[in-house]
Amino acid sequence: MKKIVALMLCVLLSVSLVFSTLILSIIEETGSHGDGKNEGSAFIIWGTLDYADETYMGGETERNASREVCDIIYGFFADVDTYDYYENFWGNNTQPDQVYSNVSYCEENYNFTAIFYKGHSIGAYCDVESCELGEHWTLYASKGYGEEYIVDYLIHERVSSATHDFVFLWTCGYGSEDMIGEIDENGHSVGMLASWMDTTGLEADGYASPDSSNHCFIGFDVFSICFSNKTGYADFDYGDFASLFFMYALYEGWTVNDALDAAVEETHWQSSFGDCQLYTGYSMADPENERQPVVCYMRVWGDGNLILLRGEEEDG
Amino acid sequence: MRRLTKRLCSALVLVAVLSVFFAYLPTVYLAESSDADEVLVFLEEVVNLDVAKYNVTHLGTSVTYPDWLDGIAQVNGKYTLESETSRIDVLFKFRNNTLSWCLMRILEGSPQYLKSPSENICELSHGFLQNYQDYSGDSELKAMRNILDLVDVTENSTKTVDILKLKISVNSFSSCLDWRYTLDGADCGGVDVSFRNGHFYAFSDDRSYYQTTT
Repeated sequence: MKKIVALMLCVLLSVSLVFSTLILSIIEETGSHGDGKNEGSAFIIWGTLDYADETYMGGETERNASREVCDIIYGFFADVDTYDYYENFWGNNTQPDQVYSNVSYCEENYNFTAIFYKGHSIGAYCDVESCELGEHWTLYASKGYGEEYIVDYLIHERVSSATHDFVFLWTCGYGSEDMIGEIDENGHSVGMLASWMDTTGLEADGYASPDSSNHCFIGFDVFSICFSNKTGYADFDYGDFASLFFMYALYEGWTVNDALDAAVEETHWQSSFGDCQLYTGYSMADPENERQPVVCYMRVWGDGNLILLRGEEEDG
Repeated sequence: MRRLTKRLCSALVLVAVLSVFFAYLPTVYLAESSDADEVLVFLEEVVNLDVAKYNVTHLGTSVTYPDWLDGIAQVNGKYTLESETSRIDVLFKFRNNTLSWCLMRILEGSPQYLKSPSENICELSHGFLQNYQDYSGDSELKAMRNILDLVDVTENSTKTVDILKLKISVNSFSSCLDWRYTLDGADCGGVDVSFRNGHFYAFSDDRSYYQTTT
């Protein structure tokens, strides 16, 4: 008799678990994400394949590290399952037209979009007749140098609702104050921050003084550091830092600043991002003057208290 | 027949109740309270924060087993502390069952302390180490306090006594003191603490696991 009762209990528990799974799947299907205009969140990774220059781009090693780290980051977003649209377009899919069409798509369909780009920067001039903004700034597309580039003002032309709220460009220069950019009275823009985020008013040190703007831009002042460069602690490299940043940024309630601190603590033996060379400055060789290294920084613009793990509260 | 129907109905009701219970069972992160509570003890006994004055919200913890820790568990978590006068975020990591990182971010106002912290960074560091020694019972920390008396903590410098090295880094954001043991010129485990605007900011101690992972 006891055996029968135990068996029945087991059956009851099993059936209950099956039904609970069904209930959860119904809740998910009827949830608030992804079924309406300007709701939900998107995350997209872009990255060039061009690491031809061994000395300043890192060569094949850096290209492989970039691919691997972007795969890992993509995996974190897939695991949390709170983003309605997430893509890893690193490599061949990083085509200018695809970038621009994704900017339009995300602006029109999501109220929060996060971007991560890994690659290189180069200047260019635009053919807009009324342009008085001088040199424009671009990102390397898939094939890199000498091919097509992703141009600042062409990104901005697709921005319709200013919902690219988190942009992290792991490339040279675009985090420096003189490359933040501007937007003229015709809506013509220069600079990656201004172009992606449709603003020029973000706090310059969003780590130390978050500005509550709900916009955060991370970029490098002068030269970015290779993923394959070692941090100096244990066997960590900057690819580990980047992937850990996104891992922590997707913890419930953790901010961009929290993720920066936690990633630094693990990879640098520094107890905070504020103590780390990414914030205080690191030396890099200058291709134009090899005898004189330059001091470079990772800059956090805007709101370091931004939360990347989107939920109903953040989406609302 | 009636008895069978009754039992069947009871079973169905039980299935329904259990289904809803399982469905709404929170996604529980492991190793919840005991480790996390230790953080509050650390804040009270080492940082001298008057934790009782705060409404404490635990945002949960997660357990990971990073490759570099070679099988050692890492517990990550976050608290938010709110009082009438201040709002604070606290991040933490445990490794090898020891608090190895704690960061206290003051978001609003001024923290409420059990004892007002010194405005002198050297005294602040001494006090922190003394409290940490009392809290952990670790006598190695005495040597770390002693070396403090040999340096000017207001400027960048490095001082080595025997196998213990103290590196002081002062920048616009914080003042950071890093005690590290060296063996044959190679850095080993140590303690790192930083202060910002006269308040404790962050602390790391990797001595419980560093040598085993490198």
